[in-house]
Amino acid sequence: MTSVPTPPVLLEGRGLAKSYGGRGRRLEHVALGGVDVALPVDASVGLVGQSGSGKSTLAKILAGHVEPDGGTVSLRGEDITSTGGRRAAQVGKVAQYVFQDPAAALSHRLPVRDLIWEPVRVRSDRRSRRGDQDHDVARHLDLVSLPSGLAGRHLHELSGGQRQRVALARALICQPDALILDEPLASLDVSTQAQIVQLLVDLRAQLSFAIFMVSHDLPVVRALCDQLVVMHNGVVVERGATESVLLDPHSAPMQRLIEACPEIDVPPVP
Amino acid sequence: MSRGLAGLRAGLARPAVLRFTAHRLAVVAAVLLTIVLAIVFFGPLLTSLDPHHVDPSQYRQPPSSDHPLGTDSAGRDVLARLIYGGRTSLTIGISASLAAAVLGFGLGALAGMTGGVVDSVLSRIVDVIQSFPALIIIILLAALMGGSMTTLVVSMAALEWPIAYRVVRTTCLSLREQDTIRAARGFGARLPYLLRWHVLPEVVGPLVVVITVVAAVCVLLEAALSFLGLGLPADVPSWGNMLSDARSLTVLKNMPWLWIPPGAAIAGTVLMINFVGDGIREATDPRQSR
Repeated sequence: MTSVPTPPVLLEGRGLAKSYGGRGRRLEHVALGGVDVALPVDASVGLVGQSGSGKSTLAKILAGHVEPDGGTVSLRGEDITSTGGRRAAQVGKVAQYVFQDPAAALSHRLPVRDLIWEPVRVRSDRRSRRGDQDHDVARHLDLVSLPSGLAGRHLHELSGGQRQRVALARALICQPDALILDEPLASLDVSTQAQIVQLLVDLRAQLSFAIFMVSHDLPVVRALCDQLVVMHNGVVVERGATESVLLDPHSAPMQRLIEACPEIDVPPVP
Repeated sequence: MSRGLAGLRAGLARPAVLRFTAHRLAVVAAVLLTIVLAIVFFGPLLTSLDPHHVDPSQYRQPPSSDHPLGTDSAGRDVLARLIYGGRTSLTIGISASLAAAVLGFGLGALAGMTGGVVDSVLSRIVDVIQSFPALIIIILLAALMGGSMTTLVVSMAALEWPIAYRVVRTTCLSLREQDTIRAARGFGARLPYLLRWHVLPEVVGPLVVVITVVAAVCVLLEAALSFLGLGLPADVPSWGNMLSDARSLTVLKNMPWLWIPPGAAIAGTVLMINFVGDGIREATDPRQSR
């Protein structure tokens, strides 16, 4: 057992590797080629890179949704790589994963009330009472700035931004120490993106959880993340404090990302 | 009121019911099938007909006021045997198809959700079962264990579950890669929860269709077996047993009241079950919605 690192690390991946299309075969595609990444308590880490750089695969492996071909994942210093199918549940107790497309991650059958309550119902064997549910759901709708009247609606009656807020409320009802956000703004328009970014900033100030955010949108990660990890072709090419990476990028992929993003000079969202 | 309209659009069941009612043939079939089931299961409670009462003086009599459908070779009332026989035949069809659906759902979900070795083993077993001719296996089982209703139901269920298995397994294979399931796993949801709240609502439509198909097949299997004299004991009233009387050429030529009622009952019921199945398939298949 290694000595406890400072600051304590919530979730850590070491030497993570993943290939698609069968290892050693001709059509093999290496998504991850040995990546180290760590999410300390209360930190906000942004994972940036082009499409296909392996950042989403990395987030899914950390969350337990994808099995790595090599490397280890540890949760609060404990190696959980070998727990197989139950890894997602183990990670879920600490870090909740927010999917890119809420329409795919949330059931279309259930009203908002039941969607947000689902984690509680799963965990408490349905012993939870209806009164608790209404109260808790209203509180979490309020937390993500949605009117409590939305509780009875179904997914198809909500806008993209409202859906992602419901997904956030559902993650937060688990009282996680961290959120793993996989391009949570990708399906939203620019003004809605800004609102969700502001919401995440406010929520972190209120509830103090760590975030691990996958994004290719530099203004968004600048507003939310203190540290950046830059990936290219399945490996980490640069990492450091957000401002120093953005102002003084060393790697060619990061320089290209910044060049492609003219509004990076705009001051970050307060 | 917008809330009312939203509520109407909300549930998945209601549009399915609306689509089903648009399928006119299926609605007619459903009504007729309900009537048949009511007559067969509640009819005996309301009348004093006795399918076992033997009247030696009334041997193969044509329809009369005493016996509306005539009497059979043992002097028993054909109408009584038709109603009680329907009870037997439909009980076999319904229970065998339900048992096959439950078995197919359980094993199909297990294979589809866990994958790996479990999936491979179960799928090979299904391949083996489906490569056997069902009728011959059931004849063999009935011969070994004796032809009783339980034997027939068990052996039919044991041979017909692969249809439900394939439907459920395929749905699970695509479901388990979807984010809704991943999210639920992230909350700590285990297999029983996923099956009840995520898999069952997806497969219930196709599964009901499978149940109707298998029920029709089982009614026909019972008829075929009993006709051959290999199904239920000859004194038990069933549509198949009634038909087996018609194996003689004299009966076939000169005594249509002995074989037309059970024949028509079997053909009509199977046809109605299939129409209802078609209606449910069109109502629940999202690609079919117009």
